[in-house]
Order: sequence, then structure tokens, then C-alpha cells
Amino acid sequence: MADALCGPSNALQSFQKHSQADRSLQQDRLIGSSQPPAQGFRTFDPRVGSLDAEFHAFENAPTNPFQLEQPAWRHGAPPRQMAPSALSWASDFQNLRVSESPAPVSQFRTEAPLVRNAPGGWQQEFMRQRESPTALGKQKQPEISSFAMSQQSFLPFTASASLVPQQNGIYQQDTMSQQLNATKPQLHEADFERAFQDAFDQMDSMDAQLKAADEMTEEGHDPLMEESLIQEPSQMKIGSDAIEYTEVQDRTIDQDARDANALARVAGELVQNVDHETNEKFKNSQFLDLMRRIRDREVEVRNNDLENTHLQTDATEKQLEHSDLRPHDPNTFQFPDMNNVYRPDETIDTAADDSFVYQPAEPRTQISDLHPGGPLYPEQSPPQPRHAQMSGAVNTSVSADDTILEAHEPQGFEAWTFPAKSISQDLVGETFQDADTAKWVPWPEAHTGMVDIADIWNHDADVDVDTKPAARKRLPSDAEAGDCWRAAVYASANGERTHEEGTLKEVEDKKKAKFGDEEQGDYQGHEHVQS
Amino acid sequence: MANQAPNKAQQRLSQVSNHLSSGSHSNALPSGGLGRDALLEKHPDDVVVTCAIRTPFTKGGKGPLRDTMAADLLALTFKNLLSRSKIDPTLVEDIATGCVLAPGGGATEYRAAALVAGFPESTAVRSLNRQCSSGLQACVDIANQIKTGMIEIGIGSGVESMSTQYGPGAVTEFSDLLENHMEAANCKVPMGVLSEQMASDRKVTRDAQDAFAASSYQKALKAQEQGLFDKEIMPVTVQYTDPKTDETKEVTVTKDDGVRPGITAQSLGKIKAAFSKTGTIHAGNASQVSDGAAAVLLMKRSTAERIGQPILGKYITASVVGVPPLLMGIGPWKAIPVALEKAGISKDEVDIYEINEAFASQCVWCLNELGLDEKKVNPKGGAIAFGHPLGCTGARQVGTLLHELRRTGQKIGVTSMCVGTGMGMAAVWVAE
Amino acid sequence: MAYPTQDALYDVAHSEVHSNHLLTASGDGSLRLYDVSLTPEFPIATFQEHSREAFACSWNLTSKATFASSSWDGNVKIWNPERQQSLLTLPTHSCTYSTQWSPHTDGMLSAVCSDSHLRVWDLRTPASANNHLILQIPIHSAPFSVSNAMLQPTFPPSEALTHDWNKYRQGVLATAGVDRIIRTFDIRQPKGPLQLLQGHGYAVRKITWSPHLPDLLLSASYDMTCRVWTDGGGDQRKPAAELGNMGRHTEFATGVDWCLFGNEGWAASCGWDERVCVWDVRAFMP
Repeated sequence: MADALCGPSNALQSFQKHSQADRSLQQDRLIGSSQPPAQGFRTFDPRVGSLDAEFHAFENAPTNPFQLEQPAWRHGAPPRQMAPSALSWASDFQNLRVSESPAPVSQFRTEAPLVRNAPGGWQQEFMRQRESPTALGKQKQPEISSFAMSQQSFLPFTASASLVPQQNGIYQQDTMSQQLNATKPQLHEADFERAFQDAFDQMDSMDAQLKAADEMTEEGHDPLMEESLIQEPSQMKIGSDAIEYTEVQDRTIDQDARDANALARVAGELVQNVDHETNEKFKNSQFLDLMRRIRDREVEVRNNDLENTHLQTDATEKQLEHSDLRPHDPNTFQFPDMNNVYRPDETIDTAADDSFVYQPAEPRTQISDLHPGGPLYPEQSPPQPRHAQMSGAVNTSVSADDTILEAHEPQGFEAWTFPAKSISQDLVGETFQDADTAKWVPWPEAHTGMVDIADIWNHDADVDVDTKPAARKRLPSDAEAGDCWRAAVYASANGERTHEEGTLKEVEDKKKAKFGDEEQGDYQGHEHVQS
Repeated sequence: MANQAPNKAQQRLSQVSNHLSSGSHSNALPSGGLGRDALLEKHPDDVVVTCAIRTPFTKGGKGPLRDTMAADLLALTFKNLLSRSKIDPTLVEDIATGCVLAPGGGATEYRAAALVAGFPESTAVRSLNRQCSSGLQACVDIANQIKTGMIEIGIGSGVESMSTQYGPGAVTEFSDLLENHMEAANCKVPMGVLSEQMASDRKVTRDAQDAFAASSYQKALKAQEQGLFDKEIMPVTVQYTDPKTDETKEVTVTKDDGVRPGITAQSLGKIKAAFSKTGTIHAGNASQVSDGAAAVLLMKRSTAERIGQPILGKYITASVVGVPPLLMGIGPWKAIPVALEKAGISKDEVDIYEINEAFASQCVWCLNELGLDEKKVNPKGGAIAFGHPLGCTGARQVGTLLHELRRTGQKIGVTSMCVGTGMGMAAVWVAE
Repeated sequence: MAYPTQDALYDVAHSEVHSNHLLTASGDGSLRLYDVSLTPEFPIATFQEHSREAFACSWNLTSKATFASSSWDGNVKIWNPERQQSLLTLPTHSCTYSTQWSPHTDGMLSAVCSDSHLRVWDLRTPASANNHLILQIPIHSAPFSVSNAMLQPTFPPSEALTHDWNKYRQGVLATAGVDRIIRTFDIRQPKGPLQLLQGHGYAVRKITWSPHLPDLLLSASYDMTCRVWTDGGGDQRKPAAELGNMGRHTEFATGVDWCLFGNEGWAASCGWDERVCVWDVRAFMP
């Protein structure tokens, strides 16, 4: 596979290999193999797990670089002797599963994995599950696993192939029988040997296939290949990755001011995200209520805590908020409540003068009419009267959807007529140059050669030929006329000057001359288009 | 620490807020559960339709709207929309109008039409052209503008006066550069020819097309008789010059004049093919040429509730795809699965499909390929029966769909159409 | 016994080697080890390397001599309680809410992050360019079992807040987060989730597999409920389903765990209502 390491190669070639590689290979690392199986060789098999014990044996090969000594600092830990790699509660599960016996509750209750550290390790566990352990089981399995881990060559693959059920024709049958054996409490040398033989046979046939396309090397992994297989996820950032992050030391007071706004905005967005929620729990949620209050600036984050803003009616506080001239101490900075900053001066507008109503001057747009609260405060937008007054509109007080629809048709519809001027007569009287005769002919005769088209329309169309066969013969039906017209429309619209006799045919001929015959269909008899 | 606290608190609060944000569905997709149930959930930031109306569609060059300019049709429709919805026109921030044939895209006269209809100068207007899906594109554009917060309330609309505005000027002649590129040159092959070829290529028989077309007529007729279009059609009163007598009179148009009784697959089977002697497409199984306009009022659900607008349904998502120009009719086949995938539903979870009947051939093919239940498709008929004013159809379908879903108590609908030059568009809507 | 702290605590873990030792993860980024048998209110050890909020701490379940922590600063760190400095730093470059050791494989640990990815490290591998990282699964990817004709829904990435290793089924993990969906993964099949458990109305803050049954897990959510789920036990014919719903919390429920040594269904949960609810899961399973 990794022929980049030996023999001639080029970038394109290796790229092609990478792109053709079976991604399921990645998992093969689990079982220590690097040999590429045939495309699609490894497919999902729900029976995975029935050979857990063997797998487990392999997995616990002592190669973990992170097996470190027990923490020395722990106090009062029971003096347990650990055999970390050989035992785990998971392995208990596995072994139990192999033996098909239900896990007793007590297994989980008594920190079993920590206690069981018999020197036999997994092997003993494994054997205990089997009625008739053979000497082979003891000797062969460690051999497999250590071999698999230490040597990255053909053999690990065969070992893994025998350990993992696979689906591939004959081979699958064998592995299935192997599984059946595994579920029974007996495992013989013959089983292993047969599995190995099968795997070797399978390997050989795969080898033959692969060699045709690819040269096998002894080297297991090509880091380059690995790199290309693990593709970088798309660059588009979503969720938390898209949230802007500013280092603390880079922050300025401006940012604080923006943060306060941003917090209210984010809270508003959050509330809006659940706005459509009808669940009572969401309506009663204290958290969401807090978010609403943050959004509305009733609550702000100050000094790492939440503080109410509007409830503080203390005069000095208020005055401070009114004057935007407070010194900006970066540690005690508090954001002025913009509602207060821009609040109309109440000292002028006293209660004595009831006639004066303060009207804040705001830019008026269609949207601000619709949403006085802006996009962040949609609920501030008042429901509009159901039927807004409109120039020229018919005023009818109807409420339900369907009644609206029905009330106006056709009785409710008020005729609304255009001035006669707008009715086009423009074309009438215009002349066009007829492509056929090169003469200028008045509308509409010139257009498409359909000189009779007006007659056709005026004719009482009839497709029911049984009653008026003669009429049909002389003149096309109404719908036919339409069709003729359409054909002509497209023909002329496409600039083909098709109005003269035989134009389409000529076009076809021209095309044939240009492109050859192969694409041209049998377009016969275009007379109808012209008549 | 003191000046760090607000920042830290804000960051952590932002984090929690982000954790909660999934509940509000800030994007088009329900970020949590997908599928029908999730689509039916109501959220304050849904883009909802509160009014969807149209003019009657009348036959191009012949019907009573034939003398009415597109901008006038549009102004009438806007006026009707205002009267029906009772919305304060000053609240409408943007209007998008789809149209195909208008020279200059109609930008100038549609702005004028909005002013005539009673919108203030603060209401912006634009026109757009994505061929036959212009009306849908207009609605989707407005919905997306609302979704992104660019506007609060908008109108998606479409209009076409095929009587007055077809002509050689609608498309600039192709340059040599375009002509010499085959796929580019294919863009101007007439649609009828394309659909004919597609019908033979894809083996859509004349019988199947005629049966489909006849059922469209029959469904439309039945719907018209039962008054099922009454909720989407608002009458218009216009001046009309009778071509026979040259007499100009004022008429109030109340219903589609393309819908006709007595049409059966057998009667359609006797019509001569239009594009080829051996062809299968004829006037009776292709969409009618018509005049008309439609408008859809869109806003956020929270806004609609605030200003007391009745909610007809909501916009979920839309898709637009490209297909080979020569196979433009397959557009819905490609666009609908994309839209459904975006919405996270399967085709069987959709209650009604409004698929524009540009030609019976392409429509039948799309239905078969998608495996749609034909009972779910165009229950009130389609463009074969009452017409296809090009730029208007997309906006028309929204109203047709939502009113029918509401009437029948169904929920999820899809509107879709093929688009000339090789595109398809589809949108998913939910009625309420 | 109460220990005052300067900042919020986001996680707590029992030492696997010492029954009196308790490890905390603090909002100021520090990890503190307390001995509950000692009276002083100060920690017996403090580990300060994370530059931002430490969100999770997890004691190594197999070798038991080390523990891991994760933080908003985008790092997972491995520590030995005897040493002031961390043994290893595993960068995620993303706010990492949760880190867990594999209960089966020594030296294997995992983490979920804001970037919607599940990462697995195997410390037995050489520290190559990947820094022991062997797996990085996009949590939002489409479900793996794509056999039916139904269109597979696609998900936008969303923050993953919690995850846990199944105690019985080798290589099986569950993750959950802001998108309200609990997913199970098998790291041998890293293409996508095996099961999607949906039902919570808001982000899921904590999940934990049962120590007694291989298919049962508990979750706590911002929707103020704790729920019990089965993922079918890996058998895809068995449906994944919600089994029960405990709604006693009146604010966001942020933590839940099983009782290891009591009765099989006992659980405890905590929330922003400043309460710990101790309950029997079976009482809430109809």
C-alpha cells in the first residue's frame, strides 16, 4: 500500500491511492492490522461482540505507554495490588458476555475489578468460563496478541481477521461457525487452526487482487496516508467555535461597554430561541425569566454578580445614571442605562402640564412601524388592526380567514377599471416586414406566416370532429391555433425567422451541415407550423 | 476579573443560546427531525403565504384579456391582492414579478403598475425572467429575502400578456459564437419540436398524451363547475374590443375561458399533429396560449400573526436544476427529487403535485419516471385546460396548490415545471 | 461536605483508583482533585493548563492511572494525578464538550466537539503527524443503513455536546448535541451513524449508556426532560425507540447517570433547577 516508501512513486499516484483507500481501515488499528482489506470488506455486523474474549486478550497486550505507577500521594488507600492492563471491570463484562450468563448485580456492587487481580489475569478469567480449557488456549492466545502488537506485517492481519467477524462470502460462514463455537464453552486447537487457515486463504486471494492494482510492502503505516484519511473538518465554525473570544489582557473599557450590550443582546437571542415554546415549564422557567430581565436591562452583571437596575431608586444612584460624566474607573465601571440616559428631562415636564406629551423623535420606517421594539423586542410590536385602512380598499368587517376569502367573491369585489387609454391598440395598424415576402405587412398577418390566425380565433373552435369534420379540416381548432401560435412564438422568439415556407427544415438542414446528423431527430413535415 | 466577567458571562450565555437555537429552526431545513412531521411543525420564522390570487386566464389573441397590457393585468392583480388581503401596502417592502416576453423584462412598467395599484414609492419592484418558471422564481426569491431578513413582507408575482407581447423582439438573434456551439444552439430549438422528439425518443404514445390532456380538461371543468377556482381567481374588469364587430366594451372577466366541456381522449385523438405528420403533439395536448397574472403575498409567520394575516401555508424549500436543452421537458423529473431531498421527505409523503403541463408528452413522461400517483397530480387540471401565461404560471401554481390542499385537508404539496432552454424548478409548500 | 469554588464546575469524575478521590472540571480551565475523606476545603491537586472553560473530565477506565480533560480551548489533555503538567495534549481545534475513555481498549479515548465531529485517539499508536488521532467521524453524516428506497436526509453540522462508549458492545458509541438527535456509531464502521434516536425538543446535554444492559441509554436535555432509549442493541431488526420520559426537572436538565452499585434501573439527574433527582428508570417506562 504505502509504496511511497519503496519504489518509484508520484504525488498523483499516491493521492489516488489515498482517495481510494477504504476508510474502515482506520479501525483496523484496533486490532493491530495495517493491511488493506478489499473495498467494502468490513461492513457492519450486529453480531460483533460475540468474540469479545479473544479481542480482550489482544487488547490487553502490555504496550500502554501510560501505565504508570500508582499514585504515591494517596492517603488511606487500601493496599491493593493493581494489575492495570490485565484487568478491568469492562473485561468482566466481556467475559460474562462470552459465557452468555447474565451479570449478577453483585458483580457491580462490590468494586469487583479492584479486587480481582489474580496473577492469571485474563487468561484465568477466560478459562474459568470454559468447561474444558485446553493447553492451547493458554499458550496460543498470548502469542497472538503479542505478535499482533509487535509485528506489523501479515500475521497481525490474519490474527485480527480471525478475531473479528466479517462478512465476505465463504469466509463469513467460517467466522460464523467460529462465533458459534465461541459462544459454547469449548474452544479447540482445531478451531483456531481452521480460523487461521481460512484467514490465510482469504488473505492470499485478497493479495492476488490487490497486487494487480497495488504493490504490497512490508511497511504497515504510511503517516501521509493516515493524514489524508483523517480529513480536516470543514472550516466553517459553528456554535461555540464561532463565539468571539478576547483575551483578558487585550480588553479595553470600550469592550466592557460593548459587552454589556452584547450580554443583553445574547440574552434576547436566547429568549427568542425558545420564544415559540408553548411548554408550561419554559414559561415558568426562572432562568428564562432572568434572561428576559437581562435582555430588558432590568438586571446587569456587575462585579461578577447580578444586580437589579431599575429597582434601585436611590436618588444619588439615579443622578449618577443620568449624568453620563462619571469617571470611568475600569474596576467599578457600570454601564449607563440608556433608557435613563435618554429619558426626557422630567424637571421640565411636570405633572402640572398635562397637555404636553413627550414624543421621542425616532426615525420612522416601515419596519419600525411594524416593530417599535426593533428585532430584539418583537413582543413590543403591537398587534396591528386586522384590516388596516388602505386607499381604495374595500372595507368589510370580516374576521375568519375563510370568510374573508369568500366574502369578496364575486359579490364583494368592486369593479376597478383601468382607463381606456391603457388598453393597448398599439400593434394594430403597425406593419412588419414579412420574412417570407420581404414586404411590409400590417399586424397581425406578418408575424408568423399565420395569416389566418385572426380567422382561426374568430372561428368557433371545435375539436369535436364528429360534429364538424369539415371545419376542422379547413381550420385548426381553437387549441390548435394556440399551439401553432406558441410554436411560432418560440420559433420567432428564438430568432429563427421561421415564417417563410420550410424555414424549420432549412434550419435543420443547416444544423445538419454544421454538426452532422447524429444529434438531429426526424423533424418531418413542418407545414403545420406555417399554416 | 472584574472586567472580564461580562465578557465571559456573555460567551457562556452565547453558548447556551447556541445550544437552544436548534429549537427555532433558523434555516430552511428542520435541523432536528426530518420528514413529514418536522415539515408540519410551525415556527415563528417560517415564511408563510397569506394570500395567493390570480386573474382568470383567457385565450391569447382571442380572450377578453387580449387587449390588456401585461402591466395592467399586473396592476389589477396587485389591487385585488391588496383588497383581498387587506394588508397595508406600505408594509410591503419588495415585489418580484416574473415575466418572459416583455421587452426589457418589464421592469419599468411593473414598477409603474405597483404605484398604480396603490403601493407607495417605498415598495420596491423588480422583474425577472427564468422562462416558464419565472413566477415560481419570483416567489422563491421573495421567500429567501424574507428568510435572510432582507425584507419583512414581499410579493412574488408573475404576469404574461401573450396576446400583446410575443414577437420577434423577445430574443436577440444568436451570434455566430452561439450558433457554432451545438448545445448552445440547441437552446433555441422550438419547444414543440423538442417535445415531439422527446415523445418519440421516450416512447410517450399519442394515446397516453391524449388521455392525460383529456383528464386535465375534465378535471378543470369539474373544478370550475364546483367553484374550486373561486378562492384563487379574482375577477378583473377590462376594456375589450370584439375582433368581429370592432366594438369596444367593458367586461368583467370571472373565469378561465380555456376550460371546455365534452373533451375526451377520443375527441383529442382526431386532431392533426402540429409539428410532424407522424407526430403526437397537437393543440389539444399542449398548453394553451393565455393571458393572465398571479400574485402571492409572503411574510414571516411571526409577522403574519402580528398583523393579523390569515396563513394559507408556508414555503419550505425549492430547487432549480439544469438538463440538456434538447430535453427541457424532463426538468420536473430532475428538479422534484432535489427539492424533496432538501425538504427531507419522500415522494409519497407529498399530497398534491402541481406540475405544469407544458406538453402532455413531457408531463406524462415525468410522472411515469418519478412514479407519481396520477391522482395526486394537478387535481384541478392544468395548463392544457386553462392556459400557460409563461411568466405567470409559477405564481399561479402556489395559489392553486395551497387552496386545494386546504380544501381537501391535505398538507404537503409540490409545484414544479420544466423550463425552456433546459432547466427544471420545483418547490415544496405546506398548507395550514 | 461542600467545597467552595471560584468558578462554575462543568464535570465531575470519580477516581478509578481511589474511592475518596473526586476530580472536577472548572469554568476557569482548571482541574481539581479533592479527597472527600479530608476535611480541608482545598483540593489536594490542581491542574491548570486549559486556557478556557474545562468542560469534561474522565478517568481512564482500563489502566486507571490517568485521566483526560477537554476544554473550550480546543484541546484534550491527558494527565497523571501525580504530575502537575499534562502528559499529552491532543488538539481538536474546536470547543470540546466531552471526552471519554474506551471501557474496552486501553489507551483509546474519544471526544466530541463543536465542529460536529467525533474523534478517536489510540495512544498505542506512534505519535505521528496525527497525534494519535485514528478516527474523525462527521456526526452529521447521513445514516449508514442505506438499504431502503427512501431518500436519506442530510443534516447540517451542529454542535456535539456529549457522547459515551457502550459498556458492552465493543466499539459502539453514542453521541448527541444541539440538533437534538442521539446517534449511535460503531467505530469499525465510521461512514455514518447506525441509529438515530429522535424525540428531544431541544439540545441533548448528556447521555450515558446503562452499565447493566447493552442497549439502554439515558439522556438529559435542555427540553427539561431526561429520557430512556433503546438503540435495538445493535440488532437492526429491533427498532430504536424512546422507552421513557422523566419530566420532573423544571429547568434545563444537564446531567444524568446510572447508579452503578444500586438497583439496576436507578438513575440520578441534575439540572439548572438546582436539584438532583434520584429516580428509578423503570418507573418512567410505560
